[in-house]
Amino acid sequence: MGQQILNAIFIGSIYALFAVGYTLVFGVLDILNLAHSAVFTLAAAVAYTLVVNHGQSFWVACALGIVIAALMGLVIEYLCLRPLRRRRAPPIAALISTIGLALIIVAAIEQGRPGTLFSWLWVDGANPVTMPPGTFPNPTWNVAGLTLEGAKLAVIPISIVLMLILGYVMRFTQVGRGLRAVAENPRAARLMGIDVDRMISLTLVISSALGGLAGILFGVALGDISPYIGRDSVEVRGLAVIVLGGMGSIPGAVLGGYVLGAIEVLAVVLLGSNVRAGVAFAALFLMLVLRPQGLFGAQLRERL
Amino acid sequence: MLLRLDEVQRHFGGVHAVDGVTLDVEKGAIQGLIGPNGAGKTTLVNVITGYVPFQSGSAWLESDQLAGLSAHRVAGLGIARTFQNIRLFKDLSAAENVIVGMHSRRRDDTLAQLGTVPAFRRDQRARVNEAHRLMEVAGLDPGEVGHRPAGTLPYGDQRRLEIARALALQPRLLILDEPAAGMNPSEKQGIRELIERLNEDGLTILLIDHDMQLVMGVCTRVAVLNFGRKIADGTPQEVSTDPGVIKAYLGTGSEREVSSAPGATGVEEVAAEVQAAAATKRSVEPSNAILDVRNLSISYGSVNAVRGASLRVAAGEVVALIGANGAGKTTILSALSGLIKASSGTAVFDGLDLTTAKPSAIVRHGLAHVPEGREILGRQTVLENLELATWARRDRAATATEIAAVMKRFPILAERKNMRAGTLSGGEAQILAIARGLLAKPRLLLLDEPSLGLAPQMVDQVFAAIAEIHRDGTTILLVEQNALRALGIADRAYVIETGQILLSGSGDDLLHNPAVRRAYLGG
Repeated sequence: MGQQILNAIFIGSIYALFAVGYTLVFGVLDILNLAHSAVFTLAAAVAYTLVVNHGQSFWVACALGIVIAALMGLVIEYLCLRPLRRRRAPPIAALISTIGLALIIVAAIEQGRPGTLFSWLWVDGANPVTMPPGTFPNPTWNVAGLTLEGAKLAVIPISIVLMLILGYVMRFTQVGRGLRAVAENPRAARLMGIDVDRMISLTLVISSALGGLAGILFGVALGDISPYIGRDSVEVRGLAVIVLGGMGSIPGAVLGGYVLGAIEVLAVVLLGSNVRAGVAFAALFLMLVLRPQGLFGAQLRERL
Repeated sequence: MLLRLDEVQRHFGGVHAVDGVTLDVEKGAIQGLIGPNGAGKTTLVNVITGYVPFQSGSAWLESDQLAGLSAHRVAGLGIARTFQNIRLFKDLSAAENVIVGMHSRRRDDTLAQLGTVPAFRRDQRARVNEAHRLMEVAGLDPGEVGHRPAGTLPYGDQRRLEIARALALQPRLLILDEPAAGMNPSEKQGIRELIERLNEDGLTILLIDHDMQLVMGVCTRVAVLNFGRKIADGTPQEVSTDPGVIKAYLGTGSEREVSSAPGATGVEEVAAEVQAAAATKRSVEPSNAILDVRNLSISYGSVNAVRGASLRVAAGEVVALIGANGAGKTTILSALSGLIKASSGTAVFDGLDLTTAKPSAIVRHGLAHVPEGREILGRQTVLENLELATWARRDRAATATEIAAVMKRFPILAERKNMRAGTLSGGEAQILAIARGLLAKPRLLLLDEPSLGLAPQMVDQVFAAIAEIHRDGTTILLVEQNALRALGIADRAYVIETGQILLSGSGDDLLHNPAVRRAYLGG
């Protein structure tokens, strides 16, 4: 049971970190960035390739993976969002353009085999891979019948510290006030001299860097890196998490991440491991029926 | 008597939008309904037509009681209306829009529509013919526009199509809510002729419009609303010379006197006040302008909101921009702060081309805009709103003391500093918006309708603040409905009508100029 609780906190941290970036973009732009899970995948793939195929050290590979994820944020903004915003396209158009980008990213990784166009990015095609043992320190302890893996344990403080920093920035700094101003009323923000386009770019950079980090932590700690980790492991769960927490609410996404981690582990313990995939949907569905605004979301108001 | 309203009331929260209006509309009349912005005209129409429920009072269309009926029942009784904001079915063709309007006077034939019943096909042909006839009545060419999607028609034609659709109800009473808004003079003349023609055919019309020339010219009787109450009712001549009406439109130097003794003082008395205030002020167009706007034109789609406006503001001046609702004042300010793009013309602020610069660059250059409706950030606290206002400043270190100074100047902000701005009252929010504008440390401050919707003592406080800001050396361009108040504080003013600068001069000159009264009252 202790082991299961530990697992719940570990996987909850990943969900929360992923969902915080997801919900940040939604809060500012009212748009679901469905390329977020592809950025998660890409960062993990980049880190793996840099270590295994390009001989970089683990730490350099992780840093570059996050940088590339952050740059993907700019790609999403300049390619998928800004051109549509200029034409006042409805949010559904941005939803579809980000799905398109996600498919392209996943396909590029999937196509990567030795000798192909994308072999610099990935050589293992659709196969899942694991970081070779010894590329990063992973001490394991046995304490009171629990197996403690260093890599998994490290995920927890890294996620919590980053989320606290993000919360502090949003709540107490001028940049955070500016982001919240853009989220609430872009017109008023413009009149105060805030460059709304730059704030949106910044939002996507922060969001994607966090998403990329979540991907690297997931891939390294679980030893599972493939073109499909984003799609299979966090895409729908991330959506469930931000609905649980309240769309656009950062504390809500954090809490939602841990809640989902906990109910998944609980469901596995009580009902067996084959229910795992369905739990997120069930939670999403129940939340939408019982409390559609989520744990922390503002009361939904009808617009006239 | 076709329509009879008795003490109709409708409040929204604490706002008395319609506060006991009694009105009779005679059969065959063209009844005008006018009043300043926010007077409750559209709310009254919404109540009559069942879009907004009655709170109290009653209304009859001949012998039919209207209170408590839903919108489609009211329409079925024979009251048709058009909307202030055009509400056509944009993707349906023009003819289909009119056919939809016939719906309520047809028998329920949903089943027939599903099949190919010959009777229905005959009926359908009759409907199309009828739609074409109604479009012709409204001044549209059915052969040319009948098949086009309504959303693609020119603006003026969309207005006419709304009228054609309303006529499809075969109404006893037609309510037109600002049918001429955003139209140029020749289009307005066309609407006027249409209204007269419909009336000659026996239709009773209730007309709401801000264009006084139109209302005074076409209506047989005119009622005036202000703050939800009827303040006058009579022939156009009676109404346009009524001192209470003039005051409601031009505003006064001291609103409190008006509320205690409505109609007691005439425009001459207020004019004397303004004359005294204006005696010391310059009235020449400056040559060394800090803001120089030339031939500025702005359009929204097919509506030309501003047509070739030119104006100049010198450093240290307070310049007012006055004119009726919909004249284009807010549009000009929005273009100056970069929120909307001008279609032609130039606007230069101290060397910066405002027609191409981003809003953030404009603010950094020293132009702050306090918009109509305040646009404070309701989810953030008062203090956070103030802190954000210093965004574009480079001297961030000085801002903490300035925020303290602003809170000292406006103590209400200090009291409320940790409250969410969304909980402030209208007046408090306006103070916050002005304070926010000041914290940007602008060299030019644009103020859009700072007194709109405020209680009299709050208006005094806001204008005192504006005067103080000016004394501290800030140049101000002020847009204000309360024209007398604005003229009282301004060095110079421009009068704008249907998107064009009509004239300019000192407050005193303008007040005695008949064209000013025409811009407001069409008289």
